[in-house]
Amino acid sequence: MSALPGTTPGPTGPGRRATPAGDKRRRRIRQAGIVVLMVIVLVIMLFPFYWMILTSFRNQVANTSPVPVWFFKPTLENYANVIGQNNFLAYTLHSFIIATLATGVGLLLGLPAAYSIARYKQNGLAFAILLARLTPYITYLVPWYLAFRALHLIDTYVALTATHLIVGMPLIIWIMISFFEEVPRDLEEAAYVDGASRFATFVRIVLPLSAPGIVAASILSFIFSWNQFLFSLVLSGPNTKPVPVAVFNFISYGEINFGGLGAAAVLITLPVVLLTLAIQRYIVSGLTMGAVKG
Amino acid sequence: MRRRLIGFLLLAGLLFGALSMASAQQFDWQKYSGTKIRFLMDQHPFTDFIKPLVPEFEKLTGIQVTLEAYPENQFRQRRLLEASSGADTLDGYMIMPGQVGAQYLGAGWVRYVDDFIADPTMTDPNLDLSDFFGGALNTFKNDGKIYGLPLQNETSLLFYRKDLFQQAGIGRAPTTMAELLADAALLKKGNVAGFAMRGGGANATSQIVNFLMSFGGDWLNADGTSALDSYQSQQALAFYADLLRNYGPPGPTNMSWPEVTSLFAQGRAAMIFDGNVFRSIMEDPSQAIDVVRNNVGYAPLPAGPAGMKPVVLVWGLAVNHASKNPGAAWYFIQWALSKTNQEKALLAGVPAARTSAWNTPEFAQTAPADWTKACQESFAVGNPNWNPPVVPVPEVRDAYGQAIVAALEGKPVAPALQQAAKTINQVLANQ
Amino acid sequence: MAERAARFFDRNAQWLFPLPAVVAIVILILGPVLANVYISLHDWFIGGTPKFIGLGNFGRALSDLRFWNGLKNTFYFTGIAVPAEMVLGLGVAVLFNRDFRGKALVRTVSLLPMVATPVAIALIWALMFNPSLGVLNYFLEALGLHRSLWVANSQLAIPALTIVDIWEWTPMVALILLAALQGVPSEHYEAALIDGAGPWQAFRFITLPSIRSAAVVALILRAIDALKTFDIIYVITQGGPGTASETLNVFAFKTGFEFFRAGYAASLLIFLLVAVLGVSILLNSLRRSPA
Repeated sequence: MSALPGTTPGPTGPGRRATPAGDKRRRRIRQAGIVVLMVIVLVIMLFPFYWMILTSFRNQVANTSPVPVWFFKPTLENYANVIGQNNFLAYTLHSFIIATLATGVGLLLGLPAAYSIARYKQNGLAFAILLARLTPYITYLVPWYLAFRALHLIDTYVALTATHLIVGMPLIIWIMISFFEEVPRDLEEAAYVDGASRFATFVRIVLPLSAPGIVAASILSFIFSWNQFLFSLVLSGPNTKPVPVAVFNFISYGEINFGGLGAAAVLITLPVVLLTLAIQRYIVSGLTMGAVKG
Repeated sequence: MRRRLIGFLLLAGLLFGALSMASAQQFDWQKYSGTKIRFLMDQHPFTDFIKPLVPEFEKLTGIQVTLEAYPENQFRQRRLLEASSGADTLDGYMIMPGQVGAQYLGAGWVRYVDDFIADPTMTDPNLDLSDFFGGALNTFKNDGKIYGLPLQNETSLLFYRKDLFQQAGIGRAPTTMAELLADAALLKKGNVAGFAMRGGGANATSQIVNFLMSFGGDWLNADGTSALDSYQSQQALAFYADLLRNYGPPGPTNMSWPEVTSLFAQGRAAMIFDGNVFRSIMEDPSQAIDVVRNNVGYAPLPAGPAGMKPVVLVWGLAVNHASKNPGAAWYFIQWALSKTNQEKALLAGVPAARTSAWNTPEFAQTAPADWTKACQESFAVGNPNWNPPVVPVPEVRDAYGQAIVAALEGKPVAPALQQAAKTINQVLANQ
Repeated sequence: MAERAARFFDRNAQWLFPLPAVVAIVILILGPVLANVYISLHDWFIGGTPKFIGLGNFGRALSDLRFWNGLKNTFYFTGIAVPAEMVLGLGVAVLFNRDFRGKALVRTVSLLPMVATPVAIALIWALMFNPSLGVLNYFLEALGLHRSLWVANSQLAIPALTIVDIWEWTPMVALILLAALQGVPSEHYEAALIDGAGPWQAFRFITLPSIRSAAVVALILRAIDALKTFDIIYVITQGGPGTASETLNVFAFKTGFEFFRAGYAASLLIFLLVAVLGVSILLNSLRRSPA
C-alpha cells in the first residue's frame, strides 16, 4: 500500500483499497525507488568503514596508490603488528576497565541525581549538569594534569575514571531523566504509603522499571568512554594506556602506516560494534526517550 | 746511587700501575645499579632502533629503563607538560634544540652535563665527544656548556627519478635553482608532477628555509627583528611558489612529509625535496612501487644565488632538570649514543650524528653511494638554524607558514611576507 | 535510630539524591573552569612567569583578526553541518520509517558512523580526501567529473570537513526523529486523508509539528557538539590551509599547546564557552514555546 509520508503502513493502516493495474505499477516503481534510496544511504554510511577494512588488509604501497587497489592478496601483517608489537590486548584491557569503572561510577552518582531532577523538577540543576558537556574539553587538560600529578595519580585508573565521568555522567543523567519521568507516580506513592523510604522506593520500584533506559545509558556512556582519547593522552601512562592511543602508534616520525592504522581502527571499533549490535534496540529507545519526552 | 734509581723506578712503576688500575676502575657502569629511570621519546626511527637494545643496557648497568614513546605532536605536548611542571618522574627525553632549545634552556628545564663529562667516574672513557659532527654537537651547547648529546643529523635532499630524467634527456640532477626549475618543467607530464615539496603552512618551513638561505635570506636581522620580508626572502618564496604552482602536484597547501613522500613513492612526482631519513620509504617494497625503488637517486640541495645553504636538523637526548636520577639518565644517554650504537643506528637507517659511524665498511656496502655523498656534502656546510634562534619558535613558524600558503594560493609574495614579519616582530616583542 | 535516619533522608531527599553527582562535578569541573578564568587574566608564556594583565587578553582577542576568523569559521562549520544533519536526518528517518525485512540490521548499521573511533575515521577520511592519491577523486574522475582539491582548497576546506561531520552524526539525528515519527498516531493521517490532504500537506501539517520537540532536542545536542568540533578538523587540516578551517577551538588549542600562550588561550576558551552557552540557551527557548 502506498504510504503517506511519515507513517508506517500496518495491516489496518491508512491507504487506498485494491488498486487498478496502473496504480499497482506506480506503487511498484515507488517501492523500488525507496529500496534504491535505502541502498544508497547504506552504502554512503558504510563506505568509510569498508575503506578502513580494505586498508587494514593492504600494505602501504597499495594503501597510498592513486588507483584504488580493489583486488589484492590480503595480508594479515598489519593485524599482527597491531596485536604483537603494540601490546594491543593490554590497551584493550585498560580501556575496558576505564570504561566500565567510569560507567559504574557514573551510574552510581548519576541515577539518583536523574531521579531527583525528574521527581522534583529541578530543571536548573539539569542545565547546570549539562554545563559539564558545554565546556570545551581542553579547558580541563592542564589543571587536571597538575592536580592529578600533585596527588600522584597520573597513570592510575582513579584519574582516568574520574575524568571520564565528565563525558559519561551528564549523558546518563540526561537520558535517565526521561525514563524516570515515565515511571507512574502512583506506584511510587503506593510503596511510600506502605512505609518504604524514598530511597527504598527508588531502588526497589523505580530502578527495575527503568531497566531498559539504564542499559541504554550505560552502553552509551561505555562507548563514549571507549572512544575518548584527549584526556587519556595527558593523564595515562604505560599502565593505563587506553586503546585509541594505539592508533597513534602508527603515526611516527618517518611514516604514517595506514595499514596498521586501519587494522588498529578496525580492532578498536570491533568490540563497540558488537556491543552495539547486541543492544541496538535499547540504544534507539534510550536516545529517543530522552528526546521525545525532553 | 743505582739502588736509589732502581728504587725510584720501582716506586714510580708501582705508583703508575696502581694509578692506571685505579683509573680503569674509576668509571663503573654498575654505579647506579638498582635505579629506575624514565625517558620520554618521540615515535622516531631512533626509538624503534634503541628500544630492543634496552635489555642490554639494563644488564650492563643494573638500571631499569622505561621508554615512553608518543607521536610527535603528542610527544611534544606531554614533554612540555612534564618538564614545565617539574615532574621528578621524568629523567630524560628526546629533544630537538632547533625547535624547543631556546625555550627549554630559558626556562631551565634541561640539566647541563658538563659536570658529568668532566668527572671520570661518571663518563665512559670511550665517549669521545670529538667524534660527533661539530655542527650537531654545537646545537647542544649553550654558552659553552653542553646540555645533551645528538643522536641524528638530518638534512633535506633532492630525491629524483633517474629513469624519468633519462627519458626527458636530462643528464644529471640539477645543481642550481635555475636548473631545478627547468628540469621540473621538462618532467611534468600528465599526473606526474615535476617537483613536489611541503606546503602545508608551519610544517613546510623546515624545508623552505633551505631555499630561504640559498637565496641569501635569513630568519633574523642583526638587530633581532624578522628578516622574512627582505628582498632575498621574497625571491626565495616567489621562486618556490612558481615552482610548485606551475610544476607541482595539486593541493600543496595541505601537504606535509607524508603526502610528499607518498607521492614520490607512488611515482607521481619526478622530484621531491625532503628529509634524508625518508630514504627508508623509497627502498621498502611495501612502501614504494618497483619503478621508484629501482630508479631513485639522491642529490644535495641545488645552489641558489647565494650558494648551497642546506640546514641540518638535530635530535638528541637530554636530562630533565627535575630528575631524581640525573646520573643514571646520563648513563643511558652516553650508552645509547656510544660509537657502537651509533654505528648500528646508521645501519638501521637513522642518519647518525657520529662521523665514525659513517666511515664503517658495512655502511659503505649498504647505503646508496649518492645518498651518502649528498648527506655528507650537506652536513659539511649545514646550518643548524633550521628554525629561528628564538624562544617562540612554533608561532614564528606559523606566521611564515601563513605566508607560504598565501604564496601558493597565488597571492602576492611581498605583502604576505611583510605581514609575516610584522606578526613575528610582535611575537618577539612580547617575550 | 534507623527510622530517624530514614525520615531525615526522606525529608531531604531532593538534596541528598543529587548530592554525590553534584559534588563530583563541582570538584572535577569547577576547579579547572575557575583556574581557566584565573589564567585568562594573566599573560603567561609557558616556561616564563605569569604576569597579571586583567582583561588584557580579552581586549587582545577582540582586536585580533585571527580570533574573528576563528569565530566565523566556527559558526560557518556549524551553520552548514547542523542544518544538513537535520534535513538529511529527517529524510533518512522518513525513509526508514516503514516495515521491511532487515529493519533491525539497517538500524544498527546506521549507528556505526557515530560509534567508530573519531581519530581513526578522521585519518581515513584525510586519506580519501588526498587530491592525488585519494579514492574520492578517483570516483569523481570515474564519473567524468573534475578532480577536486577538497580540503587543500581554502574555499572548500570547511565545506569538505562538514561532509565528515554530516556523515558521522546524521545517524544520531535520524534515530531521534525516527522514534518521534513512530510516535505519531496514524489516525491523524487518516483524518487528513479524509479531509482531502495530499502527501505534502500531510507532511507539513501533521508530521512536522508532531516531531517538533524531538527535533529541537536533536538540534541542541548537535549544535553544541558541532560548535566544539575538534578531532575532525585538527586531524585532517590542522586548521589549514593557512587559517581557512581554523575554528575557535582549534585556534585555542594551537595558542595554548603549540604557541604556549596559556593566558591568551584561556581567554579564547572562555569566548568559546560563552558562544556555546549562548547558542544552547537560544535553542533551549525553542523548546519551551508552545507547539
